[in-house]
Amino acid sequence: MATEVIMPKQGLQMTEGTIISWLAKEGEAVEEGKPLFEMETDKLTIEIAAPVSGTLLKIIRPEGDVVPITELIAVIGNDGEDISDILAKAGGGAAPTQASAEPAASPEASEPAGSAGAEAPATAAPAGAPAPARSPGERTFSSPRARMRADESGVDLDGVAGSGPDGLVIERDVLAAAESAPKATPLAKRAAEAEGVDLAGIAGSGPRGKIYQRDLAQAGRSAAAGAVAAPEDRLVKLSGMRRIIAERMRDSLDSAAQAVHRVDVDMSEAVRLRTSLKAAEIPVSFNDLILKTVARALRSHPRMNSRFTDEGILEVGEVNVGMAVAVDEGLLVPVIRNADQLNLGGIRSESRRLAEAARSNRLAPEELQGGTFSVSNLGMYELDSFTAIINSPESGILAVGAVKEKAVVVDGTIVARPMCSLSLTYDHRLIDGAPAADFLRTVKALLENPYRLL
Amino acid sequence: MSETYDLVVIGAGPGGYEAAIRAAQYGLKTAVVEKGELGGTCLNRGCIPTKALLHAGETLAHIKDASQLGIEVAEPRVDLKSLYKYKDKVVRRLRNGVKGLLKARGVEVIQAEGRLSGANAVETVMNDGTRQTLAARNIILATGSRPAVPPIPGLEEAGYWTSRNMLEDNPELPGSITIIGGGVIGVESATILSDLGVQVTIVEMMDQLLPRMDADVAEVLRKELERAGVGVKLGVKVARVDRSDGGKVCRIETQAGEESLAADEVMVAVGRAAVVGDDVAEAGVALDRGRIVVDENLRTSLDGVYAIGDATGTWWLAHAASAEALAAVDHIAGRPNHTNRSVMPSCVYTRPEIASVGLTEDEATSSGRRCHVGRFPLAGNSKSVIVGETSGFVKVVCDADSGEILGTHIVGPRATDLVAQLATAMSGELTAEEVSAAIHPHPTVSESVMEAFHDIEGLSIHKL
Repeated sequence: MATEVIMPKQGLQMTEGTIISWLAKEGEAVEEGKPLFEMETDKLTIEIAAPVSGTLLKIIRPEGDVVPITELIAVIGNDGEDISDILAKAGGGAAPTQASAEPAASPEASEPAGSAGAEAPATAAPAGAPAPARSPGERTFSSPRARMRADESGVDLDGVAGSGPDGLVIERDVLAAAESAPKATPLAKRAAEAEGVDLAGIAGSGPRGKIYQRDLAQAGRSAAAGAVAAPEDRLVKLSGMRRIIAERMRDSLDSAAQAVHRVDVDMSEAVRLRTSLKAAEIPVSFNDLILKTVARALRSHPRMNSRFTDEGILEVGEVNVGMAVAVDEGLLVPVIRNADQLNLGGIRSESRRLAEAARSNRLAPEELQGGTFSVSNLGMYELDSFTAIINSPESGILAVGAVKEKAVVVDGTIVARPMCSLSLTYDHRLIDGAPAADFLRTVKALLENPYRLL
Repeated sequence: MSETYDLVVIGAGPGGYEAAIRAAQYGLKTAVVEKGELGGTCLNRGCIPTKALLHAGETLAHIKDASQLGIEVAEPRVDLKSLYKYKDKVVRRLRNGVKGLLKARGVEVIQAEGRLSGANAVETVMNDGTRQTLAARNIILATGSRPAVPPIPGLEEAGYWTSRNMLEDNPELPGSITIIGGGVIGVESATILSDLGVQVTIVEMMDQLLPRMDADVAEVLRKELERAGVGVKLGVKVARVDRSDGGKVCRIETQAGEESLAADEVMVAVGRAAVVGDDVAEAGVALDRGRIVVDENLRTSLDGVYAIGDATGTWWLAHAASAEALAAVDHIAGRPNHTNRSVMPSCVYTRPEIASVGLTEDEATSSGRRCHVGRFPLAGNSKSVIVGETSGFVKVVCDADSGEILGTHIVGPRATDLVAQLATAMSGELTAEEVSAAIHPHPTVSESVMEAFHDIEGLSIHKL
């Protein structure tokens, strides 16, 4: 019985690995536990041992190939063993998998013949298959049935992790995503869409937490309404999250040399862009625009995207932007990976997905790691400006205030403009005042000319 | 004062007894204090007995129309005594049902007048004058209402009927009657009395019957009542009432001038007034124009004291009192209550039946929102044709932008049952599209609801 060798997942954040070198040739004997190949991830280079002893019958992915985790890369077995089934599977996508499982079927059998056939791609996938995550910006491949379900349930396919072959998004992925989406009445969904409100941030007052229209209004008000003052002291036991936040905040202030720059940004063009996108039924929030802007600016200011290590300053290749999300009794900072490679729509769907996952406590551990820089937006609380503490070991954090009409002087005249105040907290160990100011100037310039983001 | 009750309810109408049962279901030690009959106005002098009489009237009408179905029946005759016996039997049976339910749930029923004597105490006064004080952690005032009587000169002296007289045992029915007020009680009373052979004239101050209902709905009812021989005078003010040779004369002011309206009797049906004893205000509960003021959780200004139903004068509907009862008990028990009490259906048991929930077309359009209106006449509905009641229609009013169902109005067979599905849709915040997309069974009157929604897009199948 031949053994399939797959690209192993090394670490939570790994989505793919590069095969650096094969340490055995085809036809050579390999021994269980002895190095078989060398690979590299975004984090490390590592030798991987052979899972079994036997003959390396076939190397499917050559050196230099970048291979998503769990994908077949080689076959180990006995000399002369017939591995054509495995090779056939490795050669194509879902359809050959099916064909090989039913060798007697006519060639037409792999074509969807009716509604039952159309269902096949979904049911053919192994139920327990691990979900290979797509790297952000990558095109989403989905089955026709998944697209139909997505249409029905209003699920954004870009935000769905595929569990099918090659990360194909299949029906059950969409159903699961729809299941985990916030429950809202049809009217509340409509109203939220019309107002560009993210349902993920709203507490439902209906049965089983269902969101009703009144909750949208309530959500708008609750920001302004103060909490009822309790006359007595109340001791709140530290939750795990609270304890971690406490430690991380203290550590951050203890280790990083935190300094703050502040700048006011004229959001007139951003408002305009947002309005026109909204008219085109692409509801993009100011926060989405800022996330996109920061990602773009980080790409051109690598020092702002770095990390202080004992060996030196590590300028991180990926631009992974954290977004602070307030959750019950705490704060989470899920990370938009490779945010610089996402377009606005991608940022929008990813930020919504992460915010919802954060609030419903469904973030995968790797979705909380690997950030290089974070954005904290308290604009909905109508703050003019505030400073944030760096989410260690990141290099900086941008604190975003409310977009408000303010009197500003333009060409010698006082005019009202929608202004937004940005405060950049940066680690002075990594970057000095002038380059940090330059970064902030880039952010300001992009936000004032947001069409450059498109 | 032996033990403290978790809840004492004053009044065992549809609000009070349901509050008591729900509290007992939650495991609260509960008592309900009632000076009259269990079931209150609704069961004894309102909803239930009137509907029994209306059912008889409807049956009579069906019998009279039976020849159209090829059924030959001798001229039907109403035996008033037997009819009232049937009505009483229905009332008694339901009252015993309430009694049995309260007992089975372990609610203590105290037959006495209940008086609020502080935030945590109810004084009971028995018929024989025995007084006792109950200690209560929570109190619900569910003291209901009585017919309101307007200050019309001469009315008190001349004497008058209210709906209550019509329901008394073996009433002597007048040959003719003038009903002051064309609201729900007025038109239902008119239907009952007209069915029983009384010559009825309704005088209403507003320009339409059922002033709180959709104008189109009221218009269908006016035509049907007039067809049944009921006189309807709209936009008319009663200036005074006088007694005259065995009868009563109403002097009415119309736009054309003053005229006199003579009949054997005059009935006052202008609405209801909250029953709130002096004890309530004395205990420190805030009132507004004789009604108990409550917040959204039915709390009065006195901590631990709640009020529901007609005593708060919000809706004057039994099902409103019941919904408020359950909400108040949920609040007492610290449980969530998901009932949207602004989606309040209202029903009129005339022929045809009328039911509505939400805004009228006028209210919706004058609110400034962009509205879509769908209409479907029952003449295009097969079931309505079968039962021979095609004068009605279904009208739905929706927000043009969100599809929110703002109001629905039904005139037709079993309209009062049909409205429940619309109340469900509205309270669950379905939009026009969802109701439109739901399959409605054939042949039913309910298909008209679906078709009215289809009509919003101009896509009703059975309407031109």
